[in-house]
Amino acid sequence: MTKSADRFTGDIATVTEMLAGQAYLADRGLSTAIYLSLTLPQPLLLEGEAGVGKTEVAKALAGGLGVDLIRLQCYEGIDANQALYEWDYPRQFLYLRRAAEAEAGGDGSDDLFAERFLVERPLLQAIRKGADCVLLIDEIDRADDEFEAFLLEILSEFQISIPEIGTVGASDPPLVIITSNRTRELHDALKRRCLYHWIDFPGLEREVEIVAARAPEVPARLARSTSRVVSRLRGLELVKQPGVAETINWARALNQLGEDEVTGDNLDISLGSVIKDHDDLSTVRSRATEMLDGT
Amino acid sequence: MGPKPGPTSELVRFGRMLRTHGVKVGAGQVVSYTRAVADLDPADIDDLYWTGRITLVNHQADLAVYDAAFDAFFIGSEGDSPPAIMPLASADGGDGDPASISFGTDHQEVEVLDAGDEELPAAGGPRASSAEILRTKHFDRWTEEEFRRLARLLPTLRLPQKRTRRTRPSPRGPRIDLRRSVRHSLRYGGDLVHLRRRGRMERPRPIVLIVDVSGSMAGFSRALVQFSYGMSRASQRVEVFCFGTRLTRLTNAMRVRDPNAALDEATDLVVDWDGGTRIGESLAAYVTRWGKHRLNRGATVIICSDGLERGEPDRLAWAMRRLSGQARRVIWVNPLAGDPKFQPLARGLVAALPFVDELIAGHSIEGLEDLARVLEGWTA
Repeated sequence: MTKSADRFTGDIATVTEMLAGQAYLADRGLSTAIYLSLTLPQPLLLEGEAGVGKTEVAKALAGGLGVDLIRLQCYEGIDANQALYEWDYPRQFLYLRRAAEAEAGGDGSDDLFAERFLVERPLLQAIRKGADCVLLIDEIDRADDEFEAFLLEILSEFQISIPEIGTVGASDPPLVIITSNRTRELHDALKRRCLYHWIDFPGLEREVEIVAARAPEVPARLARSTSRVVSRLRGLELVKQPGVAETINWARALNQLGEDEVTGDNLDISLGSVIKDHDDLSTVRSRATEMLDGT
Repeated sequence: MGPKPGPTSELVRFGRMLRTHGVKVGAGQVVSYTRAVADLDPADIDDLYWTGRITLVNHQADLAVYDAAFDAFFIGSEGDSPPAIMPLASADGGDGDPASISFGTDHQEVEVLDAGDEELPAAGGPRASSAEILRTKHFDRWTEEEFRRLARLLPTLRLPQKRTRRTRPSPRGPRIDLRRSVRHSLRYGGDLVHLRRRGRMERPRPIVLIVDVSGSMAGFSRALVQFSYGMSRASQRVEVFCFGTRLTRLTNAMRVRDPNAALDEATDLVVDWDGGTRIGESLAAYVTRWGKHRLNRGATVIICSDGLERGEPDRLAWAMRRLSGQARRVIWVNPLAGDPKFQPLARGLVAALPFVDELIAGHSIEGLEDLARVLEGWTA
């Protein structure tokens, strides 16, 4: 058993409660996925449309477990150095200069690559902290194949060797959450290493609860009204479907405007909080009455 | 029916069942699955469902198959074969060697397609039949010499490159490589005698090929899919889609088996023989389903169709506008354009043309050579 699993003594329901304590409402599937990820332990790969709360899960988990969240945001061109460690070159130069001036024998290069010149990047931090953190590898699909292969290596060993310092490893690996927006297909080898959970858009009732939990200042009536319209919007063929974050923002925006439900008038002026594509705006405007029907 | 977590062998059998239905399940995943079920004991039906789904499935597309297989295995539905959905690539590797390129000169295949064509009611009217004639005139009569020319063309093809943000050591690169420079300076007691540099790496731009495989286009599309298969061996970043009445993705199917067989199977899937060609709907499906997954970012999109649209030209114009906004370049290959008397009058084509960077007549080997030239022209 790992440390995080030791600290985590409970079952699936405990996971649900722990996340609810962080204002994150997880369904049975997600709670099971997290439970298994903690107990097996294996990294958890989360996929789903943008805005279903993939990144939020990791934040809520770190909060709930009372450990640090270490986030590695992937981007195009990210490589091992940027994810793992770098040397602090300006300080190295200064040190060399001083050593040369002092002429205290030797050129000081022996301790040039010492711990104090090492700049930790997220992966090295996570490896060192081990079970004392949750490692979030966000939007892995933005990185390239080579980086994915490198990650696969790290995830299977949780150990790296820095030539000048030695091997650094975690006896208890951290809980790892990986998210992907599916802008490209991930390699099967990486997927096989991970548990996989697809997060769907929540159902209407669940979304109302989520709005209530995340934006407690919004009256229940408005929360319901916005959630209902958003769930209908997702039924339209839109280029960019509104996510849960959009529902929350929209409910907040309407609340700020002093509205207590979605109407034809306020839909028109506040639509920009939910719909963020020009073509989608006109699609929705042309079918506004249908969206509001019976609300 | 009370599900019993059952002995491990049952769980392994379930994993195997998923595999026979085309879900890629690795041995390690089955181990995780059995450990997870053992851990959750006593598991209820929901635990059993989620545990299996989380450990055994790792593609969203496989979830439907999993649901059906789960019902059949643990709940026992009256239906005999569980999943209604059989993934395209699930069948055996096909008889052809996927690494070899055959150009579909095989007579039987052409005949099968022709038989299909004859059943096709005059969907596109007179123009569709003239396309038929063109196809027979140009593609099917390709000589051995022409096939050899195509085979020679492929390995020399230089695909458009894109500078990535990844860097590598490069003597004249624009950036200073501090890590290597510092290391090098140690030899000179910490003086920076030589600066080491890094430059940006290049990699092929993604290419997306969307081919029309409906009756009138079948022959030429086949040549083009072969062409793209050749490209995909040069670069991993080639995506292939085909459409008739609907759109389907061919990339994965082509990777695991003979491109000809993959195309045949896909053709059955996307072509309703009486449905005509719905270019607008198909491209709209591409734009919303795949394009937004950034497949299009910086990509060269090649559409191959005669533009004989059955559906609404407005829809096609909408899809093309979005596509041209997402992609780097859009090439439209039109076999009909090879006719000297050709004028781009087909409704669909008229709607699409404003958003096309290059219109190429693709009826013959010269057409493919033109395409290769255009692609190479953008290399610089």
